[in-house]
Amino acid sequence: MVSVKRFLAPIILIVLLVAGTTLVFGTEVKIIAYYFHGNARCPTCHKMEQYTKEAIEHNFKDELANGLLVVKTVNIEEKENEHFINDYQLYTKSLIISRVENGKEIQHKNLTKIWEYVRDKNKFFNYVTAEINNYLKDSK
Amino acid sequence: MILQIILPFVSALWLGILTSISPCPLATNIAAISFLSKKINHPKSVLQSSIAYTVGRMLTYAVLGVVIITSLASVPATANFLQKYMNKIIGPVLLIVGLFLLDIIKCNIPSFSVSQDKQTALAESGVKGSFILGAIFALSFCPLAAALFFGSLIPLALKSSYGIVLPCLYGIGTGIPVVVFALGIAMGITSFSKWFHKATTFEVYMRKITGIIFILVGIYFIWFHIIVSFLQ
Repeated sequence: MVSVKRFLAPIILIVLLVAGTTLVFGTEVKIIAYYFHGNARCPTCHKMEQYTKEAIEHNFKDELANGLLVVKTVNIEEKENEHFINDYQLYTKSLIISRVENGKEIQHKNLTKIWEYVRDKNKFFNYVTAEINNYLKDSK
Repeated sequence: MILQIILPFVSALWLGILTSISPCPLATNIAAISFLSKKINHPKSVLQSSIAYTVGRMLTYAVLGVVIITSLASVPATANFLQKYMNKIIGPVLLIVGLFLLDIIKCNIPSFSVSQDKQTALAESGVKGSFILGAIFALSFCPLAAALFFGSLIPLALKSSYGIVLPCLYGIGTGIPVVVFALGIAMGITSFSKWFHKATTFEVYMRKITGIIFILVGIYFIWFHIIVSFLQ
C-alpha cells in the first residue's frame, strides 16, 4: 500500500504542476497570418501582400510585439512549403489565418475575399482586420 | 424560383467576363484579339474565328470542370499544376507562332510531318488556329483567373445540378470581351480603309502585326514565368 502511494505521489504532483501552470499562464495561443505565393508574382499579388502587411502592422501593433500574432510570407513553389497546398487546399495566391494552441493548429480560414477587395484599400483593411480580430477575440 | 435556376448561369457568365476584363490575362487577350482580327477585310471570317476561339476556351473549361466535378483530380493539384507549368509553356509557343507569322522560320525540316502548306494554313486559317489558341490560352491560368474559376465557379458548379453547363458558360464569358474587341477592330478598320480605298493594304500588315504581338507577348511570358522564376 505504501509503495503504491509512493508511486502515485510524483504523478499527482506532476499533474497538479501542469494544471497549475495552465491555469496561471493559460493555453499558449498564436494566430498566424500566412500569405502564400508562387515564383511568378503579379502586380495585384504584390499589392495584396503589401496591404495585408500594412493592415496588420497598423492595427495589431501590440499583438505583433508580444508574439500573439505572426505574419509569414510563404513561397509554395519551394519544396519544403509544398505541403501547404494540401493543408489549406490552395488554388491561387491566398491569405490564410490560422489559430495555433500549444503548438497545434486548431482552426484556419482562407480569406478568399481579398481578391474582391484588392481594388479598395479601405475595404481590404477592414476585411483583414475584422477576420483577424475574430480569431484574436478568444485569446485575450 | 426561375431566378434561382437562372442565377448560377448568369453568375458563371459574369465570372467569365470578370476574368477576361481584369488586367491579369491582358497579355494573352491582346495576342488573341490581334490573331482574331487578322483578316480585317473579311468580317465574316473574323466572326468565324471568334466563335472558334470561344468554343476552344469553352471546351478547356468544360473538360477541367468534368475532371474536378467527378473528382478525377483535386482542385489544389490541378490549379497549382496548371499555374506552374502552363504559363512556362505558353511563352515559347507564342514566340514560335510569332516567328511563323513573320515568316522568319519556315518549316522545311523533313522530320516535321506537317508540310509547309499545312503549317501556313494553320497559322492563316481563322477557325482551326483560333480554336487551338482559345483552348491553350484558357489553360494558362493567371492568379485571378484561378481564384475565380477554382474558388468561385467550381463551388457553384458542385452545388448546381447543371454542374457542367457552368464551366461552359464561364468559357463563353471569358471569350466575349476578346470577341467584341476583335470584331470592333475589324469592322472599324474595314470602314476606315474603305473610306480611303485602301482595303487590301491593312490586311497585308495585319499578319506581321500579329506576329510581332505574339513575339512580344511570348517574350513577356518567358521573362516573367521562366527567367524571373529561375533567378529567384
